[in-house]
Formats: sequence, structure tokens, C-alpha cells
Amino acid sequence: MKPLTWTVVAVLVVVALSGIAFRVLESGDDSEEGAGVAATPEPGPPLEISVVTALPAEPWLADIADQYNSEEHLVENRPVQVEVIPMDGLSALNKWARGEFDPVPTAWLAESRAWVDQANVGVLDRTGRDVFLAGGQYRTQPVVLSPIVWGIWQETYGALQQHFTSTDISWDELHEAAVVSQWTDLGGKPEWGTFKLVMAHPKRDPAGLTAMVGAAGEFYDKPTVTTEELQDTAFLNWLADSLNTVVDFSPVGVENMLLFGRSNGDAGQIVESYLLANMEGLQQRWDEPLVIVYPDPIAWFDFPYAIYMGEETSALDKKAALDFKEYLLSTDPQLAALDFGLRPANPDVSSTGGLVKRWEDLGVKVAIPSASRMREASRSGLDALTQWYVATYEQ
Amino acid sequence: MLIEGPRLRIAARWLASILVVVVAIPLALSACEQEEPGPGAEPEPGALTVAYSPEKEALFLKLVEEFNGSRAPDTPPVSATKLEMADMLSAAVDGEFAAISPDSSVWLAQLDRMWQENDPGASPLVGSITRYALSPIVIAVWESVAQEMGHPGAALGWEDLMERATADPEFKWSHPAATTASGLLATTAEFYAGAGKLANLTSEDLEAEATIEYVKSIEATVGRYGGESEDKVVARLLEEGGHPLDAFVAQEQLVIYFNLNAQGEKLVAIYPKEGTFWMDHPLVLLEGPWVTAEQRRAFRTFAEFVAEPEQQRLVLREGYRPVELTVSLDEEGSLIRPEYNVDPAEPKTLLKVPSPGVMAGIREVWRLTKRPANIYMVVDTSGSMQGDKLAGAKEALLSFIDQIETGRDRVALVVFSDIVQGEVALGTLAENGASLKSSVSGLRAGGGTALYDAVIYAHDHLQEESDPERINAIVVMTDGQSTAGTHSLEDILSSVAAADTPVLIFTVAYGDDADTEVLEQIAEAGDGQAYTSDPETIRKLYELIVQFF
Repeated sequence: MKPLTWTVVAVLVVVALSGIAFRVLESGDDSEEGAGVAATPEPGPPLEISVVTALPAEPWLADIADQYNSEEHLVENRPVQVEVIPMDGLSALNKWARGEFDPVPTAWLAESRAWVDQANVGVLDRTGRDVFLAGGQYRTQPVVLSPIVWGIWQETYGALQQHFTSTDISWDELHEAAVVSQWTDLGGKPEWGTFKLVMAHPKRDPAGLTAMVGAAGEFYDKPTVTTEELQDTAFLNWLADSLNTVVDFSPVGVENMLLFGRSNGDAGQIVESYLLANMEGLQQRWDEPLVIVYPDPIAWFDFPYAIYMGEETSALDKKAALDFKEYLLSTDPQLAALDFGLRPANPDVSSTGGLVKRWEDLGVKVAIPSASRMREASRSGLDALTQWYVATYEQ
Repeated sequence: MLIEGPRLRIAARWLASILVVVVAIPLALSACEQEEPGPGAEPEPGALTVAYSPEKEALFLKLVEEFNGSRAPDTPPVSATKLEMADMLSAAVDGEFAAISPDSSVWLAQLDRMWQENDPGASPLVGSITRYALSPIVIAVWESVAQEMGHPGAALGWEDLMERATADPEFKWSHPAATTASGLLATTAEFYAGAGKLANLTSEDLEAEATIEYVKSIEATVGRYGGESEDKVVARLLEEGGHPLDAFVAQEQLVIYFNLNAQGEKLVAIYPKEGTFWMDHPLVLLEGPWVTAEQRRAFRTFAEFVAEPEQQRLVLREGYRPVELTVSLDEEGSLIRPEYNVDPAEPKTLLKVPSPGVMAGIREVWRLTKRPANIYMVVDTSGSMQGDKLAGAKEALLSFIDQIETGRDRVALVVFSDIVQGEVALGTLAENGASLKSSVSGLRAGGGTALYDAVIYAHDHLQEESDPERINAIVVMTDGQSTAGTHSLEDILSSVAAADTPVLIFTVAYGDDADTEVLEQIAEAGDGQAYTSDPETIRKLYELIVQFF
């Protein structure tokens, strides 16, 4: 062989040997533990699951999912990767009922158990099967909580307290505010104009429907209302007096209160976590905080995590979803919920901390003072309210 | 065996060559920057396709560029397409995009109504919504005019604008067509004023005679409607100078943009005391079956990106108000400052957005109350128009006719080659629609180009009509230079200057051989606008021009 050829061959051999040596060194760590220890099998490919998530819980869930994903939790030796899909509960409910999800999500973090039950009924009607379980290991289970509260600009609250000589400001007082012609009639400032209520869009945000049911609870002075009561003309006329003052029924109407300040609304029933999470920015932008007032009866979003048990997802998918649920209910993610303004669902984790603690001076309470919990209305009741809303405000 | 001397040098050269191949090429490949899709480029497979509204083009493209340049390699890029609102809504329903960013959330209810038209039970098409930039709708008024109206001492509003417009025939204002949020919302403000309300506008209010008469009287003072997006209006003001209008409706950001760049008199943003609306530029994921999981993930990443403080500060520097509440309006770099004739403490009052049904009613009733027009379509049929050009022109003209109000606007057709022919006399479409369409369809090319004679012909006829209640306009299209006839450009300029009845003149330079300089002079004299076009774009252009009426 010619000298040049020898040179080339030598270089290639050196390169090849170097590569082999590198690979050996890289994979050689386990062998340093000593003879007789079996090598850990390589994890399999990622097991991807998806969770459709109610919007108020999405920031928390996305943060926890990122953490969970980075920790590479294994289910049957496959690292689980969680994808979070934000979607309002009404849209999600409709998709479940009509079978419009493609692909079908592995789990659903809804606003409340009532929505999950309704979705289950919808799927049962369509397919003859229950897909969200009420019992057993894979049961639907709340993972975080947040009540629906009044958020009222602090100066506005002061004026209302003075006018009504009461700290209990709720639908009755705000109804009266809605029917007077000017804020000055209520002891407010002339530049406040007229009273403006804020309410989430009833067709796009379950909080809107929940607020309307809560109004019924106060109107009838009880925590459970029937479909007939929700359809009663006297109640609806009374409710309309307040809803007529809503400036913007868009899907982003509640966010508009924070973005546009008092010009968009004086008070509204809003998910507590949303207010707590935005309180700092709100004060910075408007030099005035919102005060939290707890209605009585009070409605809650219990954010149930519902694992889809239909045949479209595999047993392994379901197992992964279960693993993620257990992770969500563990201590650190539950404590992290407080930093997002949510309350832990795990009873072993205290609610004193995070944003609940931080905004105490704005009326936030660890122990909710309300005497009773507002029950969710039936599907027929909610449908009746929605139809009334459409007929009154969308034509 | 030792390698020495020349052979050693040869071996060394071979070794060096091998090392170059093995080492340098991979280095070069890895150093290549991630290629960003440019605007207008075909979207990459899997890209997040987003349609955005024209008035925020500068901001939106900056955000897209920043995102595409900084995204993780496994995150799809954003591919952005600018669309007028009507086209955006249609394209969204047709599944052409994964996301949209209209000028206002006011369109979202309409989008869902369009989507659910064939299936009322279908889930909404409007999915996740993220806002990233806000700008209130204002009345933009020249400083001198604002002072005359009492600014800054007096609180001004829609009523003051309307009083001034009806009292002073020289006062010229415009609002965009109701196909943009600012146009729709300005019109809504008129209806509120006409109904004597600030909230809860109903269909009955729209149909009340008093409301209709009020809105008609206001619309009668409109110089012309903004067929183009407001950013183009402001761009023209900067480029051409002068005061073609005393006031117009636009988003606050455009007042800032103008004041930043103008040399002469500035604009003032008037925040209507009765109330106004916000352009909130939502970024909306479409929940359509065509949207892939990858696009959904990309949307989420892009939505988070535009809401981050760094991007929100970019928003602030572009003259918009940020949605991130911790980014203060008086931060360094903010343009929301009194020195730009805007007020960060405003607007203090918002008008209530009417129900979707009432908004649809406003668009319909407005078409019946807006100032009607006399329009002369002047069309070049010289020999050079033969083939695709004439075919394209016919299609555009037929589309134009289809969008004219049948009972109110009046249209005439004039064609020119060696001579000028008044093909169809001025009339409503109910009177001459069939003749117009038949004449357009039957156009033939041949002969020279009596451009100046044709413009004079149309202008003289409009003077004879002597109808100042209407918007009088000529839309003249030519692919060449004037080669026939007896009149000159000077004749046109003198006639227009001496006219008793103002006539807007829109010119279309069709193809590369048209004399754009002459056409621009004619349009400028006629207080109109000059456009260029070709067979591919002529139809779209005429659809734009019809928005001015």
C-alpha cells in the first residue's frame, strides 16, 4: 500500500476508534456500580395525554403540567407528557355532547361537577355509555376550588356601604343601584355616570350562568332553585334591571373590567381566582383595587378533573391521566394553586397562603363567611336561562 | 516505512482536506440561522396561519417577526396574512386560517353566527381569545379645528361633531365604512345619538323615524366614506399633506402615529363625551376541524409570547395600550402621552355594545341612511385593452355594480376609445341595472384612448345633474395615455377647480403602460385617490373603491 494510502487509513481508524471509545465511556456508568446489577431499561416513547381545561384554572394547570413533564413521570416505563388545552366549559360541554372532539381528550378539568355530569348525560344519550365515573379510582374529583364572588371597586364599595348602611352588598343592593338614574343618587361621584354591572357571557363562560343562578338564589332567598323559578317573569324582570346595565356581554367582558377600568363596570360576579391573580396589575393600572365580597348563598367552581373512560383512549392513557390527577392533588401542586389565586382541593393542604393571604385586606377570607352554598341549577334550568338571555340580549 | 519530503506534504494536504470536509461543513450548517418565513410567502406545513386586520400591520408583523426569530426549533412559525374584515370572516368560516386577529371583538359574535348558520347547535368557532394591544376609537381633529370647537376646555363628543357638520357646509369629515370596527362603531354612536340613548339600543330604535332622519342628516354631511383602512388614510395625510378632511374617526394609535411623523399641524384625539368603544385586537384560535394539534400548540405559545412584558412594551412603543396591567402607561418609551395630543386617563365613558342582532341591523339600516352617490364608471376600451385586461375589467365592473345599493345610488357607464360614448345614462340599478350589466358584458376593445375627453364628459354631466346632496364621483380606468380627443389635462384641472358641484375622482392605472403621473394629478384635483392595478387585482380594487360610497 502506498504511504499516502496508509496515512488516510490511519486517520480513519483513529476517528472510528475514538467514536467507539466515546460511546463506551458514555454508557459505561452503570457498569461502575459493580457486577450483578441489571441495567435499567431505557424508557419507552413518550405517552402523550391531553387535558381540556377550564380557563380560570388554565394558568395553574399549565404551570403544573410543565413541571410534571420536566420530571418525566413514568407509567409502565413510558414518560408521560401532558398537553393542556384551554377551553371554556360551555364550549367543551357542547363538544362532548356532539362528539366533536377529534382527537378525544384524555381528561377534562371542567369548571364544576355539574358540567361533567351534563356532559356524561350528553355522551350517554349519543352513545349509550357513561364516560366520566362517579366512583372508584378513576372517579371525577375536584383538584382546586374557587368561589364566585363580587368584585367591586373600592371607592364604589365605600359609597354603597354608606348608602345602604351595610357591608352586605349583593344582588338586592346592586339591583337598586341599577334602577336609579345616576350614581349621584347613591352618593357616588358624578363622573361615575350610571351604575354598570359586569357579568361573564352566559353562553361562553359558565361563571355568567352561575351568576344568574346565584341571583335567583338571592331573589328567592334559598340555595336551590327550580327550573320554573328560573323561568318566572317576576324574577327575570328583576334580573333584567341589573343585566341591562352590562356594557359588554362579549366573551371577554370580565377581562374588560380589568382592562378598561370603571368605564366598563362598577361591580361584577367573577371567579375569585381571576381577581386575586390580577389584583396587583389592576392596582398598578387604575390606582384602585377591587374589594372582594362573598355572596350568600355562594356558588363555587370545584374544578373537577374527569378522566375520559371511553374506548377512544387506551388503558395506558387512562392510567397516565390518573397519575397526573394524583400529582395534581399532591402537596406541592396544591400549594402552588394558592399562588394562582385558587384554593387547594386536598383537605390536608391549608388555604392560608399565596394570594388568598396576600389580599386579605381587600376582603379575601380563608374561611368563606357565607352561610350556604348555591346549588347548580338543572340542565333544563340552565337551558331556560340561556334561552331567555338570547331572546333578551342577542336579538 | 517513513513518509518524508514531498510525499509527506501530499499526505498532509489530503488530511487537511478530509478534516475540512468532516469538520467545517457541519459547522457551517449549524451556523445557518433558522429561516423565517417572510410575509406573503407560502406558509410552512404545520405553520400557525393567522389573518390580521390592516390597521395594525406594523405592530403585528413586528410581533410575528420577533416570535419567529426566537421560537424553539420544534415550535411551528406564524404565517401572517393581512385581510380586510369581510374577507377575514369569510376566510375563517371557510377554514383558511387557524387563527385570526380582527380589529375588534365586536366581530366575534357575527363570526359565530356565520359559522352556526347551517348548524345552530354547532360549537362556537371562536375559541381561545388573547388580547395584546388596545386602542380606543377617537374623533381625530386638527388642532386648529379642535380649538374652534372648544378643546381642551369643553368636553366634546359625537353631538358636537354632528352639530358642526350640519351647521357648516365647508366642514368635511369622514368615517370608515361599516366594514371596519371603527366605521361600524362610529355608525353605532350615530344611532345611539339619534335614539337619544347611551345604552340598550334596540331594533325598534333603529327603525324609528326620528332615528333614521337623524342619522340621515348626519350622513349627509360625510364628505366620503373611508374605503381604505384608517392606517392608509393617515399614511396619505402624511405623504400628501393638506387638510382634505377636518375630522375623521380612527383609533387613538393612528393619531399618535401621525403626530409622531407629521411636520406641520398635528391632530388631536377627541374622546367622545357620550362614550366610545375600544379596538381590542383580539387574537382568536378558531375551533374548526381543520386546526391541527400542532397549530393549537403553536397558538398557545404565540398567545403567551405576545402577552409577555417584553412584547407588551413593544406594543406600548407602537402607540397602543398594553393589556399587561403591570406595564404602566407612563413607562419610558410610552407614546400614550399628552405631548402626542392623547390622554391616558381617557376614555372615561364607554358606549354599550348592542346585541349581535342590533349590530347586524345597524349595518343594514346604515346602507339606507348613508349619503347616496352619483357614480360615473369611465372605462377604457382602446385596442390595448384586448384580452385578459378587458376580461378582468369586465369582472371587476360587474362586481362593483353588484355592491351598489339598488334603490339609492345612481350609476352611469361611459366608455372611450377614439371617441367617448355614454353607454348607459345615470340611474339607480332598479332603473338601469340590467342595461349596465349587459353593456359591461358586451364591451369590445379597439381604437385609441380619448382619456381626457372621457373625464370631461363625465364631469360635465355631473355638473349638469347639480346634485350636491349626493356624493358625486367618477371612477376612471385606463391602461394607457391619452392619444385621442380634443381636450387636455389642463382642461380637466380647470374644470374641476371651477366646478359648482364637487366631484370626487378615483383613477385606476391598469397595467404598466398607464400614465400614472397624469392619473395622480387628476385624482388629486378631484380630491379622490389614484390606484394602480392589473388583471389579477382589478376586481379587488373595485370592491375597495365601492366602499367609498
